[in-house]
Amino acid sequence: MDEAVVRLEEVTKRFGPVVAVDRLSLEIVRGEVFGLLGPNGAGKTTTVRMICGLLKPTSGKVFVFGYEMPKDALRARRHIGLLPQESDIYEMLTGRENLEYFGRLYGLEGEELQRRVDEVLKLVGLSERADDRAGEYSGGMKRRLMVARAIVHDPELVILDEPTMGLDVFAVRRIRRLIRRLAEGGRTVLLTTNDLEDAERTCDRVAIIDRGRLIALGTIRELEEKFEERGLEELFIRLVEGEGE
Amino acid sequence: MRPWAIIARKEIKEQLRSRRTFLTLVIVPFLVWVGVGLMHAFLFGSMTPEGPLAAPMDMHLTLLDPEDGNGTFGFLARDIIMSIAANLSVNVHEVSYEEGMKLVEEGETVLYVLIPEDFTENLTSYGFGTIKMWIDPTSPRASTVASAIEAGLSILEQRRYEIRADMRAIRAVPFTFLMLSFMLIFSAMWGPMPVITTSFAGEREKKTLEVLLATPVKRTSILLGKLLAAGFAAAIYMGSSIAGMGVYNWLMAWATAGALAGAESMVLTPEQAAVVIASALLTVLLSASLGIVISCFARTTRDAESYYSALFTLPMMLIAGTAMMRFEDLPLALQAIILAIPFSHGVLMINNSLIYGKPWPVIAASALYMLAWAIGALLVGAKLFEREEIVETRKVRHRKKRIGLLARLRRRS
Repeated sequence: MDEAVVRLEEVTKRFGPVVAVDRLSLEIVRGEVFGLLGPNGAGKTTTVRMICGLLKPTSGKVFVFGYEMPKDALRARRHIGLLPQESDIYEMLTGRENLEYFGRLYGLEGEELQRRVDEVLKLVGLSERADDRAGEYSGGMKRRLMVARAIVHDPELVILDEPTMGLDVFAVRRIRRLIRRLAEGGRTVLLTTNDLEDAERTCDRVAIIDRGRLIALGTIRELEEKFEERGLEELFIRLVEGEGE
Repeated sequence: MRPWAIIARKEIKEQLRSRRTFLTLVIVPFLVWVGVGLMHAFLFGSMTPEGPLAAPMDMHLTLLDPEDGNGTFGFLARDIIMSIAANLSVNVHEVSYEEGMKLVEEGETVLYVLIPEDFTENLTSYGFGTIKMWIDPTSPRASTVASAIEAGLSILEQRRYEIRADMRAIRAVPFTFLMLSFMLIFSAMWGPMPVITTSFAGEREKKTLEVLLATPVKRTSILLGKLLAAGFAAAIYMGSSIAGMGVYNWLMAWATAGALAGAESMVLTPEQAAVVIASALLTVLLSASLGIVISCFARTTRDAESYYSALFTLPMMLIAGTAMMRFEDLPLALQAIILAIPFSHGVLMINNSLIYGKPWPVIAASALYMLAWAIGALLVGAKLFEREEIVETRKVRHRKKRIGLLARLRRRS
């Protein structure tokens, strides 16, 4: 299997006259936490959707584990866990049932399914509330359940689209810790965010995109050295504002 | 377990836990039939002379036509009215013309009949006589009695030539059979609605669709799972409707004390039962398939429900018409429209089997037509479900700007 878990080659995505992603090329390698950063409307979610095979590039190619997307999406998706930016859970089901449902859709069953469900519930700290209706969960608990849903089938690539959006500081800290733990377990994590603290604390490498175009790629230290700025926030503002000017 | 079965199971679990499902699929259809049954029981039951709800209605009559040596048709008309009134549990009060008109003006009577003084003379001299009736339009019972009087008095014309009509029914049509086709199709059309409209539009609205589509499950499997869940919802709705219909029949039979012959008998042969079940299943399949197409287009559940209601209103109205009358009696253009609408074939299948006893190829043709539509709608739904617009709210495809005729002419000049 290719060392590059995700490979984008000159990928462009248009929505009518709007260019959402513009000739984007990048690689995400196995075991890294890769941050896809950019302001709102930069094309992060569109990129994620193309990586998951939900959208087809207008031009260029997307490969995930060597499978071309969306042509071989069904095969590649077995190894992908997705937390979409705007998502919810099935409120009529319990937390456990939500996870069992998705686990089954990914081919888990029997004891293996139960073991995985228990594991991820423990990992996100929802074991005690697992049998409550998910509709009764708080916003933070729901988001944690969504993270659990994304990893219930033990995927090799975990895509988290704005995982900490709208969460309180405790939930944010818990999710950041979880991301690091996934990476330590050998998982590849693609994190899209416009929360730069998230990126600074969790990512090995980052790509900054604006209006669909890649404007910087590398480790945070590499980028600081290259652009002679200290801190990701300053760097980000300079690069994005520079693009806008 | 197959992915479609996993999806169907989860959808059914959600349905069973939802109060809305319980209300819309179980309580409402049952109560509708019980409510209609109560209304009909009071209406028809109060008209029957011996039923437990028989409540005499009062009407008023004035006979001005004088008796002469040759007898009078006015007296005969009064006897007929008295006889009809007795059969319909109506008390006739004979009053003077002035009293009768006062009752009419004050709204104190629901039916006033006047046999004028020139009734016999007109009848014998010119061949027609007129009886005047004042009817309260808010009383359906008064209207029914008036119609019965009008029909009953027609024998006066026959009396001159001693013509008697010996009327016999061509076919036995139990009252319930007429209702059955309408009831079943109504249930099968509306039963899947809450589930289907919330399926894709609801998942999109609730932001759960994207994560479902990102699983390694074929979209056809997702469609099939949703379709099966919709079938389950329709089955609940149908079961509740049939239970309600049972109460309806019982109420009618009890209230009319057997006056509506056959109201309580609804015994189907195995072949007829097979047709009824096939018709219901095909209607469920069809409404669910069309619902999927709607749900793929709609952004929200409310949108989907509005489109669903709008799309199904015309067939419902036509089906209501065809369920209660002979199809061949309709104008040809209307027949063609009805035949083109696939839902009508559900009614036709049941009526052709249960009432008209048509040969099976006629019934099979209706079934095939519905099946073809359902498969077509499913294929369209599957195609729509593959579109990127399912997850993307922006317009994925850009429409080329249309150039109007004037603009083209300007360009040329």
